[in-house]
Amino acid sequence: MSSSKKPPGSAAPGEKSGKTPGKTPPDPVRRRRFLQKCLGALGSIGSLMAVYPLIRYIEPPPEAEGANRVEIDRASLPPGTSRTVIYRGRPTIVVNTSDGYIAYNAVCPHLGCVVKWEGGTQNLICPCHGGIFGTDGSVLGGPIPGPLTAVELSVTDDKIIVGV
Amino acid sequence: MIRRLSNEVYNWLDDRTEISVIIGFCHRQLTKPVPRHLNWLFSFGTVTLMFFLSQAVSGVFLMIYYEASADTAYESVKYIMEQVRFGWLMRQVHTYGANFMIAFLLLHSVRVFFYGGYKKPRELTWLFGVGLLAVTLAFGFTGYLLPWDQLSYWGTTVGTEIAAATPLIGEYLLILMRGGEIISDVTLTRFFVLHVVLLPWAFIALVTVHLVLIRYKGISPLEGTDVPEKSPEELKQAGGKPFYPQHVMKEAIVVLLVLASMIFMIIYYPLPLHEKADPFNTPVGVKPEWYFLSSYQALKYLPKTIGIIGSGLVVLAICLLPFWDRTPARHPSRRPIATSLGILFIVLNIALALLGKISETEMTFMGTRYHFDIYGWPHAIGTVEEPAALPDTGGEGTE
Repeated sequence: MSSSKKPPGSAAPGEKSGKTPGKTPPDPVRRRRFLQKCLGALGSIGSLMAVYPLIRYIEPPPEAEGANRVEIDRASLPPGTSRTVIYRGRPTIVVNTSDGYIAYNAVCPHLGCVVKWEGGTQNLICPCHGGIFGTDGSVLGGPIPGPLTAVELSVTDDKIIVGV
Repeated sequence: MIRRLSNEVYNWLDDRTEISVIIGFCHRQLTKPVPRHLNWLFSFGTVTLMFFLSQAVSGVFLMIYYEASADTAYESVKYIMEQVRFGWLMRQVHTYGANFMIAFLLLHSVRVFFYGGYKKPRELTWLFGVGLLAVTLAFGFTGYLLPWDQLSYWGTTVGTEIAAATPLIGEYLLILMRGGEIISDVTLTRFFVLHVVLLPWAFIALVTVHLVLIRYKGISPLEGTDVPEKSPEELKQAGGKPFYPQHVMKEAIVVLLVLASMIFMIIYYPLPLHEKADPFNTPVGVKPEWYFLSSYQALKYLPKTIGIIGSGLVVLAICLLPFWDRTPARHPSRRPIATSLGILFIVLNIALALLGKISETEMTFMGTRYHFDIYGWPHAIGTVEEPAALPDTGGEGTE
């Protein structure tokens, strides 16, 4: 007594399969696998579509970047003093030096601390790790990888305008 | 009468939930024998878990009064410490608890390394353990900002700036972490959400799998991976003691001793709240917490990008440790190269952390005043004169 299983569509020699020769019926297992893969692909695309707005949500919106123009009263910044303001979301230091007004992005290029104006030495210094910058923004000392970034500045009769 | 009632309740519950199956499973797990070589060092994992529970409880209590806003965070912590009854205790338990938790997690990792506990078939246990270490460090980093004082503000500024050195995506990562160019109100709420929602759930998920794997695979033996591991019955015959009560008692003693030392520290060396954060005023010599000091100091000697890539490679090497160290020996004395490398790594980290600690400070040694520069090298800056001898008053005592 033979009870061996035959694959669908197969026939023993001499036996009529009842199907058109040369045309094998679709394999339900292969079809199921294909559908599973389609489902997986759709699921992955759907997940990615769900992740995208989440990532965009946690990115800071443009308005969080801060003002594009900051005005300071000239009278409030006598010679030899400095003022730090937030310009385009970054601390920006404005100094009234003997050679005129200067403005730099106050974030130290080393590890992100905020530089200060030292009136005595006429230098900008970073209190975190002893970085020293000249009034032209160049590095004079400390473990600083690069100079301070200059910020656009214009001066009117009574205002100092940071930005354009 | 009470016993009968409790039996009735138990049977009622068992009919509906098959609780006896769960209780039986837990009992089998608790009484499973552990190898004879389990000593006091094997308690560090439990101590870490105990601190996680303590952090969860004290954290929930702190949240009752804490306000996660740049305008009020500092004041709310000050209020907790000065006005709320036992608020000082709650904050100290949470702050010291964080330090103790990280310390014991590091000790636990070191113990597992030297006992070769990461080797086959416990690679996954190690990987989940490394995940737990990462989550715990993230807990420390995000929680550090929450008091919003000068130290936490600038420590976080420096810490997040290090992430900016990641190749290609550094700047994007920085903005994503901070929610802007600088540490602000947005950063505080991000860190708060991470600290109280996402990280706790990540920790719970990881620790559950970690513990299940430990119970499933058992404690790592000291024999090599080429020796078949003993079944619970064989372990029992070889002198293994049940996990409960023998090893649990040992762990309870360690937990109580550690708690006692934390209480001692809280009473005699309470951690202060510094001045309120001022985004325009950087204090001198900003340093991160002790557990980040060695990497922070290493970054001073190396260019930022190389430092970041190097740190990433070290982390990757630690994660993949079970896959590249496939030698069968587990006992530290039978694998001298791994043991020596481990000791060297620990000594190097301690040395870097100490250099980081003394950098940008001044110290007097043998009458000479030294300034330690950012790299931790001493520079003599002057001598300190001996104080003049007090004039002889002619008598010893005073009335």
